[in-house]
Amino acid sequence: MLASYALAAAHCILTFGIGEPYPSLQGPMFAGHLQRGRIIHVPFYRETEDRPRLPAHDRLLRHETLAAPVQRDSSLLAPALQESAFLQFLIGHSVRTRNPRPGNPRDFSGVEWSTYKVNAPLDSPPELIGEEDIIDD
Amino acid sequence: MINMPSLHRNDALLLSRCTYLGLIVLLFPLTSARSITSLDASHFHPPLGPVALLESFPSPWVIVVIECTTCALLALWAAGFGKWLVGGLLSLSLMMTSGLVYSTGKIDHDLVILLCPFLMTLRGSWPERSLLFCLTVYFASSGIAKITWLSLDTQASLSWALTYFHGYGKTAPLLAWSLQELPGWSWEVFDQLTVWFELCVPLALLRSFRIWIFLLIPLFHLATVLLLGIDFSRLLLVYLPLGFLLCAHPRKVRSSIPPRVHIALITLCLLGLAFTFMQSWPFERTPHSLLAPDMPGLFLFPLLQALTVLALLICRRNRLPESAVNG
Repeated sequence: MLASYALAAAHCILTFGIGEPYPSLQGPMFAGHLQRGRIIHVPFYRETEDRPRLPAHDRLLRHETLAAPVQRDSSLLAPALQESAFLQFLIGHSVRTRNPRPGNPRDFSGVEWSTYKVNAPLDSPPELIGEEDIIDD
Repeated sequence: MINMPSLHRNDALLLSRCTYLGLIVLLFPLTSARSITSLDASHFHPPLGPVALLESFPSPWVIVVIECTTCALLALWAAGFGKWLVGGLLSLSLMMTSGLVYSTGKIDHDLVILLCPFLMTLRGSWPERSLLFCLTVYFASSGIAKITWLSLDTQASLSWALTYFHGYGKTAPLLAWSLQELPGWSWEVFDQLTVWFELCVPLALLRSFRIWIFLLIPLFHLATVLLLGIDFSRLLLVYLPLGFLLCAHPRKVRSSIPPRVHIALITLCLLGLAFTFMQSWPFERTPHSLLAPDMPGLFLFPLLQALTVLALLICRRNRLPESAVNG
């Protein structure tokens, strides 16, 4: 049993240390750090420019930054990719903070990052209270 | 009165292999890596594993060779040929395919499923011992990764639920309801239960705790499907074979499965595999699961729960006369 815990700890160190660090935004979210007091910030981004002619690969790279909205319109983005392989791609977790990809400098123009601001008291359900741009993009 | 015969080790291994292959054929088809070859090298970011040795996506013919090899090895493994060598090669080829499928970025959570074929070919009681050990490591590492969830100041599961709902547009059965109705403290309870449960799963290595962990696992998965829409039903590829292996009785000397049934089971598995292969390869289609809904865990986990309870009741009933005799 102790070996199980030891191996699990080693796995975590390896995974988070050198293998697959979580993206810059999902990492803190994973740790719950985007909560300040009773306010939770839910990151999202929106397209500020219409780019209908962007090649599929470039669109995919853009959406890798969080890939959240992509899951809604997934089939429109890259028809060449099929089903589950496509979803593996789109679900994202793809921005590697240590190794940004050549085509993904993380400073896309035409993309605006922001967060939904949610009040989350302990004694009642959470309440969406608006939008606040706390992400330095 | 329910009276199920205890299993000979070879019977348990046969049923485990057939279940693993049957689940792949019917419910959880292997994902083909062929479609990702249309991406350029800038998308290549492999997970830890053998694929990390590559610099880019391999040529399509390499993927076809790997997939054909996987299929052939699956057939040999299901039929019981080659023992650990075939099991090892099969696990390796499954890891290659999985590594390629996940090489566009998403984290690969499937390692324990991929190791299954190799572990099931080990000698003696090592299949169930190693499989159980890997499963506990899987849960424990997930618990350790979430250790900050234990802080009472933040509710990480609520953060995720809000992200899934507002950001991803997920529609888990209870997601919208829970965000509307559940107060913050209940999300904190969910945080605590999640982490402590995952950290406690290695207790299953101790016999006295095993029953309780096995009873809680399907409930844990069901809760995550209902609340967050995270479906780990593919883990049935580990749970069901492990269940059969744990039913193997060490003193059982004679096989309970007649040779005809043995042959029929393997033939059925091979036919299913051939059908899946024919469906996916020459016609370039992805094999479809029989499960149409987005979240198969919604009915698979209650089924698993019922099976677990039934198996435990049967084991208890079968053990009573023995203990009475010994007592």
